[in-house]
Amino acid sequence: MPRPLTLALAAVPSLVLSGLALPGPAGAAGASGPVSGLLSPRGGAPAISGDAGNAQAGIVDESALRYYAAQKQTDRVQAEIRRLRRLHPGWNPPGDLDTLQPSPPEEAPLWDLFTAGRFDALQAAIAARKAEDPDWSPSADLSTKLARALLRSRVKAAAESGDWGAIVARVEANPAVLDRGEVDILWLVAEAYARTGRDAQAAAIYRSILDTSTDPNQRLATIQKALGSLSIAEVDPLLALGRDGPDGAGEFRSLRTDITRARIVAVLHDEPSGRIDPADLSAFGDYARRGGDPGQLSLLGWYAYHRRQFREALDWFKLAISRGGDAQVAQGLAQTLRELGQDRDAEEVAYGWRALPANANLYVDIMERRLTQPNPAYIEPDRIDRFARFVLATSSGEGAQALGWYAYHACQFETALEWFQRATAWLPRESVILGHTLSLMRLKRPREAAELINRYDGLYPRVVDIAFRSDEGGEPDACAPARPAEARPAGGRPADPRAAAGAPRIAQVPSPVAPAPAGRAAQTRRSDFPIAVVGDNPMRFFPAGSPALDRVRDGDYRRDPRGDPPLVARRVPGVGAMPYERLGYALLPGWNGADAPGTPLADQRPAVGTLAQAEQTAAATAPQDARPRPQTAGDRFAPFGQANLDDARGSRSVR
Amino acid sequence: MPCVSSLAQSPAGTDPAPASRAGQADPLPLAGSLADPAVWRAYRSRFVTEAGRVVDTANGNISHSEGQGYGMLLAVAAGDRGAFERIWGWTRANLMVREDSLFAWRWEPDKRPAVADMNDASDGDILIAWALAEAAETWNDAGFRMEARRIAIDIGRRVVLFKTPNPLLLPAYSGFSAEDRPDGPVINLSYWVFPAFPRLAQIAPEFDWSRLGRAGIDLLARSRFGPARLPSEWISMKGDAPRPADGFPAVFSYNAIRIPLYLAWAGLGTPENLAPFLDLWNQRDRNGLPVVDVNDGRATEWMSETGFGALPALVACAAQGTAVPAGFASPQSRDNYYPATLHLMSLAAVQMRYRACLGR
Repeated sequence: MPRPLTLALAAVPSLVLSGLALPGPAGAAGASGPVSGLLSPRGGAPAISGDAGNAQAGIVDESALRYYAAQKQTDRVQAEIRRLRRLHPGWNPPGDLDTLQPSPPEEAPLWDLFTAGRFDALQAAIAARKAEDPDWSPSADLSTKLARALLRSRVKAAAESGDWGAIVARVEANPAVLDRGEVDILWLVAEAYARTGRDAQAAAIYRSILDTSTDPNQRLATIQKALGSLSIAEVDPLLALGRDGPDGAGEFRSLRTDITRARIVAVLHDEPSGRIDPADLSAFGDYARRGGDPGQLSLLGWYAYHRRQFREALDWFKLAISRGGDAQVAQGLAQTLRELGQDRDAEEVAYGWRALPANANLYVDIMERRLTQPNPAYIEPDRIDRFARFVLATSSGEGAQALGWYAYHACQFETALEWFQRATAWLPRESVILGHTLSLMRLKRPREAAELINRYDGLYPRVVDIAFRSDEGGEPDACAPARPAEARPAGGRPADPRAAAGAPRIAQVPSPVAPAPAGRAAQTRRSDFPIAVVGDNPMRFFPAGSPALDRVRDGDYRRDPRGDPPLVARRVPGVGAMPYERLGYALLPGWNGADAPGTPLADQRPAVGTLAQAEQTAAATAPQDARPRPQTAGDRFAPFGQANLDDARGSRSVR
Repeated sequence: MPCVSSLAQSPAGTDPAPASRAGQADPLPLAGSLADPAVWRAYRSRFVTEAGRVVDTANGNISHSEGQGYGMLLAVAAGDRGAFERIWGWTRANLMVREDSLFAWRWEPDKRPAVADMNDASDGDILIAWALAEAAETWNDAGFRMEARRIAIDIGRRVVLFKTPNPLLLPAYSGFSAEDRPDGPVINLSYWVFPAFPRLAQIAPEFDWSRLGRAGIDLLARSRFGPARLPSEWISMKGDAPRPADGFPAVFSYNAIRIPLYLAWAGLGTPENLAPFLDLWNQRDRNGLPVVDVNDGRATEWMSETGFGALPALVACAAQGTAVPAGFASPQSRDNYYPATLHLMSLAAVQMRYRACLGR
């Protein structure tokens, strides 16, 4: 009986947060273990959760002040300073008030347009005036203000429409127009730089604000904006500009949650994260649980997963799911369950959330691994049926091959063949063609087997090897009705370990089609190699109703006439020696002139700098006592096929 | 009055709209961008077999993962699901022979075995993954989506150097890395299929595809070699500065002419990104595109089939808003597979992003 699913997901984990924090940053070396091929999804949580409203209130409208100062109306200047200080505690008057010059009286109508925000009309008026009087120019004050106002409206409009490149282009065309006092515009410009990949320029703008601004809200908001645009490694130097407290932490203390989140995200992306204080992590956990946002909760799940603390990860993901977490959270849950060896639960979660392709693939991978074990544990027929339906609905090559091997191991060769035919259409890897060929041999259909062997001559040594076997495909038949006298031949070993352990327990494997009559047999003939066959793989299985099944008319498609297929294979780069080479037969040179066997793909290492190579290195240097991982995405490259093939060979060598 | 003078250059109302530089803010989807059924039918009947094989007619009628990917994209663009399934069906049945989810890049009829090379080509892999992701959206097919993700993950894990300070797209799993070549890593900028990256980011969000795209743009800006300031087909990334790779002709040729196509198609067709290509193709004094020796900037031969001419039209449209010439939207030539394909893709790109250039 299957274990009941423990994933009712209602129970909130009584998680002790110190459990997540342990072993703490001091033990961070433990986090450098092998990283899963599936990195955690990005952007599970908004980068900024704080209230930006304060910051908007922090923008100080200094226009009246500057007007009075230019007019040299000292009393009004002082009154306005008092008023602004009352409204904006912490605000200080700009230092250039003494230098402002009054505008000429004839500009008054132009200023009216400016104050009314009618910049287009103002530009037109200026142009008209200049047309009348080429020597005339508006005052420096008006030109600057107009330029800034235009920049302001254009930047805002561009930000709204997401045209960040336009903002950068506009600012770079005339950097002088950028008003260092208009912090909200500076934020947008910094964001534009960051979004167009120019992080250093963005950081410089944030830094310039922090260097000059004394408004606490503005300073806090600047850090928030920086956290939203830049990596934490680029924000850390800005945090160091905090003014209160000896280490700068004090002033930005209220952003602790955002900062911790940014560090966690950096860890998940294998980027420099700075030190995560256990107390900060603990506080973030409290915040996440209090808020109950599945995005925040699952972020901690991914963090624990990344540190290979799968128990903690499980608790966080379950909690996140119970709070309405989506398919991506379910992906974390399923992967964590798998790491914990709870494949049965992982299967249910992945299937339940299969609308996300990551989960659909995970479901197939879990089933593939389970079904292709030589002695698969009992699997209820309903679950196999469900999987078979899914495989057909999605044309999954991995799934078809898994069902092929499962049926093969259960001695249901007709069914195995049906699945291997589909796998051959959808994913004709060596292990698939091998399973396909072996199934045909078992069914005494040597002509079809020979066609496969010949089609993959030069490409798949283990398939070609079948033609050079010393026996004729008649294995000590584990699948024949048990006759005790034959079950244990003179050699002593059971004829086929699967016979005793596996086959009897496997129920009828569902076939993709109605069962066909078995065995239209012919004799296996060694002379079936080499024979001339077309190189094209003709297998196709389109879903019912596919327009690819429609009859085509002459002229719809290109004609593809063929010459005579050759009998001698050629070298293929990335393929090792063919079995018959040891008998002295040679191959033709490859398309690139290659004359010797290549390094088989499986023996080629991924390039240094790829994630695949980093994972291999991490796995090779992982502590020996690390719990073996049930499966990684990388396992697909050394698939069960290996085990099965060895197994198939083992049973042959018994003879 | 520095501020005023700068303003005077762009008076209100004539401010250059972003759309005229980098395309429409709201590109149309790929599906439906090859709306003229006659155009697609002609292409299909000339280059796609009933089995779904896309035939490189100028190259011994071989097939490759790149051509299969182009065929799949064009079938989505034309809304022809039957052709799409045939082409994808052939592709997986004949090229998915590796132990990962990437594609053997080269296939030759009348050879034993027909697969010529177990190595992949990352542009073919990317094109196929992109096409599957588009097809999954267009026809809401879970199987296409799953397969697109498997391919994208193996691209991200196995052929992109994501662990280096600036990510690099290797041209293949084998043969181009620093371990494989003294001047490695060697890259090919025309394998950066920029318009595919946003789709790959949707289907495999755990990889930073936009960073890879930005690294490609940056690399392009640094790979302006010789007097014509053009990138060579193959570029050595060993050391500080990119340079033409050893053992390959240092030319701007059949491969690299796709760089501006992908830039424009991705909405990255800014005048600065496209400048070297604009300059080169604006100066043409005859039909066809020059193959340029990047060392001396001279043309060594000409790519003269008419379809190639779609690329300068696309570039001028993307960078300057120039209307495309008559005939751009209804190719009728007897071109071979490659120029015919480039023409149809340029047409799809204009339909998606620069409809103004079609005069509609």
